Amino acid sequence: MSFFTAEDETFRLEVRRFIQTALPLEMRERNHRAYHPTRDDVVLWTKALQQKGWSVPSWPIEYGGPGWTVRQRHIFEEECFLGGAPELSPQGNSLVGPVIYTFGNQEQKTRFLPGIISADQLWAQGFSEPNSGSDLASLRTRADRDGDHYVVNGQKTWTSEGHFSDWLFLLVRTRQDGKPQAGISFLLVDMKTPGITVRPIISIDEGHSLNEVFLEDVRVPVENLVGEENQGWTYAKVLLGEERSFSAMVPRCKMEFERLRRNASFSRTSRGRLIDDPHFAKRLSALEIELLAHETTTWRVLAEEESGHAGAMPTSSIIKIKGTELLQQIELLSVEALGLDAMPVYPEEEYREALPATMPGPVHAVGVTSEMFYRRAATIYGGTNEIQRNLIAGTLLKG
Amino acid sequence: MQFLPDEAQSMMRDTVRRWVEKDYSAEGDSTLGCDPDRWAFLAEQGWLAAGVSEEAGGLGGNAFDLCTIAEELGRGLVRDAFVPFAGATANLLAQIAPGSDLLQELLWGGGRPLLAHSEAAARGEQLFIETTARADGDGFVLDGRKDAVLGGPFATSLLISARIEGEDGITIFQIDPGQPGLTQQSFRTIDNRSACNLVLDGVKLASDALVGPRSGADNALILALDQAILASCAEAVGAMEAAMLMTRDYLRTRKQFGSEIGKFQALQHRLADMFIETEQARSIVLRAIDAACGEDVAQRQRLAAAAKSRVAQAGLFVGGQAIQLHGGIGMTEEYGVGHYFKRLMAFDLYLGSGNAHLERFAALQQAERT
Repeated sequence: MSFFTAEDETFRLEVRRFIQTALPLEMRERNHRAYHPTRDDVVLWTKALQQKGWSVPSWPIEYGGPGWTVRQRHIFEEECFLGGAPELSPQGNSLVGPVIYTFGNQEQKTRFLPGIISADQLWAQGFSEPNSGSDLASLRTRADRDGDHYVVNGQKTWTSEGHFSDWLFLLVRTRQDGKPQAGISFLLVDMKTPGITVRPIISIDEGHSLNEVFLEDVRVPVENLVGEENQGWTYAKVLLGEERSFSAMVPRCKMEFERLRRNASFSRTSRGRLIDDPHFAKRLSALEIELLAHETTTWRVLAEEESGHAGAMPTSSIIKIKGTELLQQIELLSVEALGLDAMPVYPEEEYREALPATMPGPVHAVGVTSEMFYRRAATIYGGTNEIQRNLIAGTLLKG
Repeated sequence: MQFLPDEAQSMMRDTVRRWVEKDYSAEGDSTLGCDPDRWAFLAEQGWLAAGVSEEAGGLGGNAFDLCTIAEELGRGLVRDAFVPFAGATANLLAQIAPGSDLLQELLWGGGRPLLAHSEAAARGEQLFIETTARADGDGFVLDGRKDAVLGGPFATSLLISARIEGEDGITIFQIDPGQPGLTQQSFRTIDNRSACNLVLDGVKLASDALVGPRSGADNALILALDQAILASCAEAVGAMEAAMLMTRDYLRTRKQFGSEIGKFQALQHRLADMFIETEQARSIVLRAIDAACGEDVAQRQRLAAAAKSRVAQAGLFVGGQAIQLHGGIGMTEEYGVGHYFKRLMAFDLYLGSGNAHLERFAALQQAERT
């Protein structure tokens, strides 16, 4: 049994062949090491995909997307991951792009969508604040109207790729009274505007992808408001519930499972290869079984999405919880499989672009531990797993 | 069975804790991973000698003393390679070279000899090494490698374990770090300590390089490694407790949805589980210390394996959940709660993973039955 049709499989081969020919070898190796992607790699790969009309895979045809089915999108994502392609900027592709073509006006569509499709403009997200994480609606960054501008003051955090992005999409407070959700607006801000300071946040993997963004009297033209003032929360909610962003856990789990298997076949024990050790094989198998079940759950959700009959359960929460926790287990076992070779730091700065001449461990160990450390965030970002569990229990108890 | 420190041990614990909290700072350490003056202070305090018997030249303490110090160093995430020197090496030398100058230097300052035994393929199998020694006239020629020797760059001499060709047991050889044929590759570990890989390519040694019995260090090695495992478990327990308390404090102060997040039951239960895991870990360590102070060698090995297995499991849970309950801030290198997780991950990898020791425990139990 497979979820995919013969046409889907033909499509898969087409994607695979394209990646094999279009993706530079060094870029593939870099991405298999799983450090945070560089701007150059993201731009170069997006442009290569643009030639095929594939650079915004989830978008409908009318806005420049390929108009793929849910299954084709999933296949594409999986092949890109497994083939070592850099992840397309999720901020542009899955977040602000869909908001602009769904809620933006014609002028905004004309102005901003082409830059996302070509990656000439990279986007960063300004949602979370130091005191507004899970409770996002409590955000305090404010935008006050001054003639034909908003004046923005406040602080955003966990801004992925903020250090190399051109534009920022922000949730800001435009009304102080009433329900917290009711006074939020969605603004598009050129990061070159005076008053914006970006500071790096080094995460526990010793890598740099996250940033703090400080906004001080930043003047944003009112035409950069998306949709209506004080309606930003409704637009953002569409994004936060976006199931697509979670189905990506399957390919990432698969990629890391492959890396785990590879590590276990390189690692030696007194009796031979670690992968042949029955104790280890049992633990590997337990994760593989979990991955099979998880993949199938994801397919069920995709089928549901395809049929247009969404069930009552917050299925995206199941996928998010299972996918992230499984990913962490896979990566933890991958580190354990490396054994003492996992002990050295292989810092992103020195190892991302190309490998140094001398290394304290084998090539296959590079990037494994840092990826595991970074993915501790997977159960936090995109709505913590605790919040997701609340959603599931809440729905069950209501039903 | 001793559950709590006695009066002298309590005083020592408090002294170590005060030093860690007030005086310890790894700022400005060289790439050796430790500051020689700081290390001299540890020796002066008698902390390096705390777990070594008086007959061998130590303070006359036991595994409880050693673990009491280790726990406090773990609580403060002290980077110094206390366990490799004061746990593994001191214990080994106390067995195979009691009263020797080498041991005296290690315990009281002057020299820093370090056991270099670990090889990647051993994966916790304590007597599995591939480093060989070949008789060459009166001396020996060594070939092989040692991996991730914690504290290695800080050692003033290295005690290499090797098998002499044609003989059965393991021999310990003392080597100068600058010895021709020895290549030392230093690196920083994931928990910000200092370690090195050693490659031995035809290292020529005179016969006086041999430390302890020729081809007869096996049993002493097992005991020494188990002592180090125990001390590293105690370090881990200290780290877990600190991470748990830091998380408790955060739950009391961080506000979301209009209240302290510690008011949310899901998080309360998780905190309770972190506490339970920490206590389970502490219990198994106490049990293993008790065995280490006794005469039953088989029991001692079983309990060391049990402790490593259980503490590693608890450590990854507590360290991981400490980050989780902090949320995004826990992911930053600057905030620091993630450093406990990194230390606990490195602890798992050191001297055989928790899972390797679970298998070892099962094998020892099976051997006992048959």
